[in-house]
Amino acid sequence: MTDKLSLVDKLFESYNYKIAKTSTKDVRIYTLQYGMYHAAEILSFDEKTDVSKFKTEFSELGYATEIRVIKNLEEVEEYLFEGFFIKTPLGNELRNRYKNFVKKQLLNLPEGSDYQYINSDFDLLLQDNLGEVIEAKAYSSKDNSIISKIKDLFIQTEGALFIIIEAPAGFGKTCTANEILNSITVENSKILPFFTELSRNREARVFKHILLNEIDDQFPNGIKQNVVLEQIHKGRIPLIIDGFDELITKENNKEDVESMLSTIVDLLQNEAKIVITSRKTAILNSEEFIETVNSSIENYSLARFEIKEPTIENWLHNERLKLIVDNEFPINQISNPVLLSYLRNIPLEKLEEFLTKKEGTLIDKYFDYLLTRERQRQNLKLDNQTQFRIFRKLNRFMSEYNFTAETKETIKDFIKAYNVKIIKESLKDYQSEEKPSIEELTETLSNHVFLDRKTDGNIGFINDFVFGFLISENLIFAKFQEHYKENFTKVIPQDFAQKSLEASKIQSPENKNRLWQVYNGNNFEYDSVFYFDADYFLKNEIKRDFNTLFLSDRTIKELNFENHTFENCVFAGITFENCTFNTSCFKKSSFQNCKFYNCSLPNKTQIVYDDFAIYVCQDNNEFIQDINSLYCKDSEINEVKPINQLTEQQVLLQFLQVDEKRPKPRKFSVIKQRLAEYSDKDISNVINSLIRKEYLHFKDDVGFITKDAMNFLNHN
Amino acid sequence: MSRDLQLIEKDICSKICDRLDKVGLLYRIFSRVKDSNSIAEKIERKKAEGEPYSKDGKKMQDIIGVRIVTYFHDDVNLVREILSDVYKCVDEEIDKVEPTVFKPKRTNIICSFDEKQKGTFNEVAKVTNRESLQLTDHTFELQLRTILSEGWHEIDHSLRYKSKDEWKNHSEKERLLNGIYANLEVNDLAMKSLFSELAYQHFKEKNWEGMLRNRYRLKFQLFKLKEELKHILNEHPKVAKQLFKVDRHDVISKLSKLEFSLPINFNNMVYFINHIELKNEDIANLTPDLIKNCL
Repeated sequence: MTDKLSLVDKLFESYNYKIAKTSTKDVRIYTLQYGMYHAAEILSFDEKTDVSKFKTEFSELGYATEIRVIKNLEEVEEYLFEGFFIKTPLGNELRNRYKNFVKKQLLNLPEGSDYQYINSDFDLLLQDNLGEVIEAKAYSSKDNSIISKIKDLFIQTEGALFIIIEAPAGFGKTCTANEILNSITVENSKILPFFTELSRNREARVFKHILLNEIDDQFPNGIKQNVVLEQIHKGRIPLIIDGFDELITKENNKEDVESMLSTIVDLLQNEAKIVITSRKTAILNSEEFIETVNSSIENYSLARFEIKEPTIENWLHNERLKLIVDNEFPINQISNPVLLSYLRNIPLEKLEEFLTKKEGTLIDKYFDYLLTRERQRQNLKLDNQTQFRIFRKLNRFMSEYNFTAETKETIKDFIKAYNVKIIKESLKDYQSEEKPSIEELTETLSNHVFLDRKTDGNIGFINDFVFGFLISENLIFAKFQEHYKENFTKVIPQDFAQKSLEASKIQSPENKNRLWQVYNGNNFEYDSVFYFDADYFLKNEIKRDFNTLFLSDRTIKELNFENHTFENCVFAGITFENCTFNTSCFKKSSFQNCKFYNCSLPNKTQIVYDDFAIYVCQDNNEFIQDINSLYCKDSEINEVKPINQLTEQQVLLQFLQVDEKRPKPRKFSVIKQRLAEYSDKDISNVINSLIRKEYLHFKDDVGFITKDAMNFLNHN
Repeated sequence: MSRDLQLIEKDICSKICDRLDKVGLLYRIFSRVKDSNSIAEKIERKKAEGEPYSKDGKKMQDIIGVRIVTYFHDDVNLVREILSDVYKCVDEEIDKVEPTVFKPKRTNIICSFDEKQKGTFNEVAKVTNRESLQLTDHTFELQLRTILSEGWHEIDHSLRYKSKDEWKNHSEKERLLNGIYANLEVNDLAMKSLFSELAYQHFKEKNWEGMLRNRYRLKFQLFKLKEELKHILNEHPKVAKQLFKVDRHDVISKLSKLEFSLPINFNNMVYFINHIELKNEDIANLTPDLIKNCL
């Protein structure tokens, strides 16, 4: 053991201890000062060593002394970690975090509800630290749970591990993050996960600083950042960052995102385990991201999960589902997790009543339930509409200043300042003995069911659904228009507007239409994806021509691509179900890695390959074959005739680094460019064949080379 | 932005507290990051006053402000000296005491960030790209004052300094407010001599613990002075007298420079002072090795 002395010293130094000069080879003494408190740890490596002299000396000097006989380095490690992290109030608090999360979920549900994580299907792409794809698979929720898969990865992965969980709004990112937290906590008390939920506030800009501030806030004063960071590297404090995308705004420049990623990559040393959740964003498929990962992948394995939309069957038991189907209830009114968890838990009679009573949408009934209960729970004398008014105002304020969470004080100040009349009126309705002060009433409103305390202690809206719903109400009722006049289109950040689209999927057709009118009747300057979503979510119909639209990763159902044109558009990783296409609407557009289920081509007009290029796609009928038969010969005359036939090897070699030894993911467009001397059709054919052989795997428009392909290349 | 800067603020304070706690000084610390409104206001004010900040010229130096309030008048200089080991002073405004004029005495020091803090600042400046940060340099302002004058300063700053016009024709009132300060300054001095006298009384009565506590005015651990040490002091009045006479400032300043942290209690103080100054052999024989090896 004594030969490992310097390692023991290093361990203690990493916890900010100082080595006492009186230490010998057999007895090590480490001192620590916290404010006025002084501690000395006296370590011997053998029970027979007499340490009493040291103990007496240090006790007399006024140190709190602790004697330990240590057999090996692991024991020292355990001892320090337990003392600093596990056996502390902090350890308890972190362990309770999941319980508090569940409690919060139940707050919005009828009494007697139970919380259960809803498993969905998911995809996994796993790269080892050579950059090779070692697993690329779609999992069904029936056979596998994403939580146990992640838990396995935690246990089995040697070295650092970076897990990215992507999913669109409402597919369960936050629930998944909390479930991971819980699975780590229960299984293994020797590690202490650090959970942080990112929200945008006006006060912080640099992601690294946000993270360090969170560490400062969540760990007690005596524990310094360097101690926590060291344990993150060692994997003893796995990092779970929920809502990574929350900090990404349309205004963010490339450097911001690069610095966010490099902060994370910097932490991925040794045994670090980092999980981030993010909405699907093009950033995670960007060249910058590929480059950042690629230049650092030797340090870690990368697992990318994508959660698929939970089905209504995942949510509701047969009995409830049957009731809904029997009543021919419009299914799109419930395709929202907030409503589904409510429907899952309300008494069956109540559900029946909801389904048979025609007036009002389900969403109205849900809010009615929440706000009426809030009046009882908090003894609020504010009717439901007035409660809505207060939070619509708060929501406008958040848009104007582009933040999603703020300190409780700021939120209270705002509520008080902007609702003076409402609050004073409401106070009249209380009997004198129960009348709260203005201060007390604002405090109550800051604890409203619409709001929630985030892990950084700030307060924001409870979920994106409520947030988005209020944005859409503010627009439908022309509140933004009234308060910001001509300027109102500049006030709403695009991602906030996007939340309003998501939340409005379950609105009444009238409200959907009104929201669509606002977005299309004014010049908001959002990007084309936003307008595509507005058309699809609110109208279920394409209403405009699109130029340079890049659409990726989603399922599009029952949409007709017939009356408007798409020029220079790319569709990547999209599942089209029951859609119809008119090929003459497309110019210089391509479909990559898409699935066409029950899609059709009613008007068969001839096309040029460049205008409707299909790469790496699948169908379940004759769709792709039909498309292929429509390509006119003329286009091929214009194509450059390659001197040589394009080989599989040539294509695979594009997916390697310059040294041709290590793999490198590539965007499809880059491959096309690099093989410009060959026809798109040839490239497409070879790539299709490579995918069938499982040599290549595509995630959206990015291709990854597999381990098998590496073997193939090495042997040929 | 202010959250980013808070990271620097917390780091500065934590380094300061580590140093002051090490020697057991009695103090309070306050700190703040200027919010964007005050920054903008100050930039405008300086422009109006004809001394505008500029990228290449004078820059704002108090975007982060730290105030240390000491309980005793003589600790102001002590803190200044101890912290000069931690932060590099780039400028200072220390008012001289004038014999015939009573007015607030400022001890305001401009210190530069350490390398880590500079790095953090540059990251914020790069990302926010705010003009105001270009007009700010890598410094913070450290203000030192006593706790008795603290309240007066606060009132003066909020109600006089920021609204000078309202005092223009009320010189009597202004004189009175200054007079109140004069009173406080006298009280600061009275407080210090009160404790010195009390220490001397205890010295005469051979109450060594009372003598040490009131002479050194630190947060002492609740340990009794060892009987052996009491005995030595009882037997050797010369040593006891030396112990009383030793320069307090010097002792505490040397304590702060120790590589390790010595718990502050009566025994350790006697050992330490003996080791660095008195050199009495009997005490040296009792002194633990750790202290003997400390210098």
